Amino acid sequence: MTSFARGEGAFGRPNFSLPARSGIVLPVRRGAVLADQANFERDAMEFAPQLYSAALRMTRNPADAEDVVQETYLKAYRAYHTFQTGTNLKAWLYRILTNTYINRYRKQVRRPTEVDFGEVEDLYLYKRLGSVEAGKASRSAEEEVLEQFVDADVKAAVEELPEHFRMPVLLADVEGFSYKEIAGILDVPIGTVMSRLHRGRKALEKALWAFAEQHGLTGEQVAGDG
Amino acid sequence: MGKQNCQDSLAHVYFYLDDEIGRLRKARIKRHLKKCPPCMGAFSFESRLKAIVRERVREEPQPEVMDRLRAFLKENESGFGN
Repeated sequence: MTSFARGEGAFGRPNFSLPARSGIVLPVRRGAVLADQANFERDAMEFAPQLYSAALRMTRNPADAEDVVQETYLKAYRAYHTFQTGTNLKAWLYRILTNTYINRYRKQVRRPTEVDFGEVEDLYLYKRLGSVEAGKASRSAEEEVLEQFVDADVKAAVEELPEHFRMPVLLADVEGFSYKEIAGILDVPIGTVMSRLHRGRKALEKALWAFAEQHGLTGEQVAGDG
Repeated sequence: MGKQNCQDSLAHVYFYLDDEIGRLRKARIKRHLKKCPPCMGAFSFESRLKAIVRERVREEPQPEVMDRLRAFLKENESGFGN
């Protein structure tokens, strides 16, 4: 987590550089073409809605999400002349976003709590829904229950995840980054990404099961076309 | 034998769905799924769950949010947007 100390206070000139092993920014090669700040708007603004959506799930609040995205884009604009064209711009922006969020909310960011999700079995949700639906003719009954989760349920389940699980789940399942890209964005080894992602997903399934129970989705009645 | 294939497939369900496994293992799992409805059911469920998380969690900002972002950048960096 010390790696997140690299950023600076709000709105200062960014003084962090992205580590070479992140795979996002490589040491400047001979012949590498650095980005032109004049192209920033054209190249980077299209990612802003996605970054805002991710920031919402990080901060859990629209005003903070907007602040984090604004600060991220200001830093990115100012550092854009160091970005190597042809490398992964989206991952570069997410790394700045993540650092900005962590720096800004460091005090609120909980230390990795040693919540033990080890007892949560694999396929937790599927197995539970499966036992509920045992005897049903349709094999997709479990999937029908999934369709009934509303946006608020899934958002809440994601937001409830401890910080160090939430980020990998967001980056993998919502943003579609590869493990290697996530390792670069979060500046952790790829093995750590895999284990946090695995445990984060189990925790997410557990939370969704709780919603399913609360909303009575686990009863015999599964709304379908029948 | 069959049980071994089930265990091997289920152990890799997330790597498979994340497209983070080698081609050979991927092909082997694919072959197994065609022959094994219970494993296919589990894979299909997890795949749908991953998609549901993406669909339900994404949130498009109001246009004003993007307008304010542009205004903020222009205010702080006169070079932006020229």
